[in-house]
Amino acid sequence: MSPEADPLDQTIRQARVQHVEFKAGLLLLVMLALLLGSVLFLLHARGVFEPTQELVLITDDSEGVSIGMDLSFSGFPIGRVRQVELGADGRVRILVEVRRREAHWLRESSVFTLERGLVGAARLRAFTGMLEDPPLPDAAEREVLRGDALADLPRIMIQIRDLLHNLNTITAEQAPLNASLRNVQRASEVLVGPQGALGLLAGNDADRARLLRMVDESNALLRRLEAVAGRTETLVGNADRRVFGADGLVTDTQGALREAQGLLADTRASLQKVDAVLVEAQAIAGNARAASVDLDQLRNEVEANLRRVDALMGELNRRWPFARDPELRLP
Amino acid sequence: MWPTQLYASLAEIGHWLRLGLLGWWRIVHLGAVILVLALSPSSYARARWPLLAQQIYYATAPVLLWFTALSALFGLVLIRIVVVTAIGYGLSQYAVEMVVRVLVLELLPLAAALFVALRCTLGQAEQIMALRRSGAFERLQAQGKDVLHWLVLPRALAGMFAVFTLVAISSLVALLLTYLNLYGFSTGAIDAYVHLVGRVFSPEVTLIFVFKTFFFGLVVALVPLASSLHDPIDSAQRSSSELQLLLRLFLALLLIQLVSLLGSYY
Repeated sequence: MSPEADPLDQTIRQARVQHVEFKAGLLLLVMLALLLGSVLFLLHARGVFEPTQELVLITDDSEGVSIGMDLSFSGFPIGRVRQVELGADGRVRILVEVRRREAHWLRESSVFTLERGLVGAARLRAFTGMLEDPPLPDAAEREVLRGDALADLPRIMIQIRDLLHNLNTITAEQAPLNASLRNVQRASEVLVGPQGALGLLAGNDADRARLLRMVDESNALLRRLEAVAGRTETLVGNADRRVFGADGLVTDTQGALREAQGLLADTRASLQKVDAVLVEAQAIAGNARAASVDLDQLRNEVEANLRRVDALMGELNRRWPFARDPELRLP
Repeated sequence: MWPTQLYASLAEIGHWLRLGLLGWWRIVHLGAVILVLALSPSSYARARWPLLAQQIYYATAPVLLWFTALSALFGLVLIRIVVVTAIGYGLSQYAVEMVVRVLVLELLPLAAALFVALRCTLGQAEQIMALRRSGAFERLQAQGKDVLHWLVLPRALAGMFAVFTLVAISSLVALLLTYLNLYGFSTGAIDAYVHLVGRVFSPEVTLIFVFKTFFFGLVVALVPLASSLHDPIDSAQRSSSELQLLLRLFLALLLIQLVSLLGSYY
């Protein structure tokens, strides 16, 4: 470097910064360290320095699988997809690099799934139910179970299309609904027109006129009925007066009832007397029964006497020739 | 009458087109020459080191602190917005990826390139122009020294170095801030965070990021220098050529950004 060749640079250097070469060297070193550090960091972050083992996942559709996507176990990434290829049998082979220090989570019985949500990329996940099983060997091949939230979408789309088709049919020009709506519109036009609701009901002017006439006649009938009702009311008033008035039927009946009540009281007194007479009669009947017992005895005696008289009379008749009538009369 | 006008306007358009293409060609040519010089070991001979060191220091040191502080502030706001939005929508698992992609991969390189262009390489172009005016070019050539080798190469290398350093440091700061924003001062999530960042930096994305940063540095360093080497010296035409320079610079940056986006996401 010749100072006279570049006087401007020379003046700047003298005027401002000491040890500029050292500082520039420092900057270069820092930059170099940064570059190297970034490279190492990225290599480390990409998992280049970690020993891995291979796992082959087999599925029939590679959609959603991308190079570099994670295989996660309980939400923690334990490996990443290194390659996706088509196998000889037409099935998809997903080659996954699993870090050796995480590989013990994968066992013979582990299950692998490929899930696609509505949001975000697809996810490869591993599930291990039995951690006591033997560990998964290197380059093991496993089937992937697919769970796809979008899988139902085609079916739903078909249903939506059917629905739209039905809607189209319903709303078409010649569709029944459309025709009905047109009828409704015509009806409402008639409704707001001069003929009104009656025109809508009757359909033509003649019928409408008849209807109106009918209404008029009904009105006249109603008026007559009203007069009849007035007269009926008068009649009912009169009847009321006759029946319930001061000299009405009900008042007379009430008097008669009171008299009947007195009569009944008298009857009851008479009956009580009859009752007493009956008691006495009963007593008399008792005496009479006792007397009839005596009478029986008496009658027996009389009968015995009669039989004796009879026998005497027979005797007499046999001996007395003028008496021919042998009958004997009891008293 | 009007065929002459048409001819004149066509001739004018052809003239501007030729000038524009010439400008781009000069940039590409200068870029190729500078790259060749940068790759030849003789450029880093002991005699040239003081000049290179001086340019590197002046290009990087003054802007480093400012840019780091500003990018940290801007990054903090963006990270906060992205993280809060992602958590609000229940998509917190995508927050890291989103921040790294938007901030580290796209915004910081562009911001660093613009910052270096405005604070450093446009000033370098002015210096070259001043040297041209003062006749330093002729003096150097009289001594048998190549102008490109002694004056332009150190500045171009310094500009590129400034862009790379700013991108590297601000990216590092952004990654740290993202971690702190998401997990606080706990160290428990470092493994998961490193894994997430590593997943974003797939080989293709990393390659595109490196190339993009490299071309940003190249464009930012070379476009102003090419302009200062070939534009007319007299100050009457300076303003229009400066505008052209800025336009070219932004167009080139935009083009690189577009190509990188296409590469990353298509």
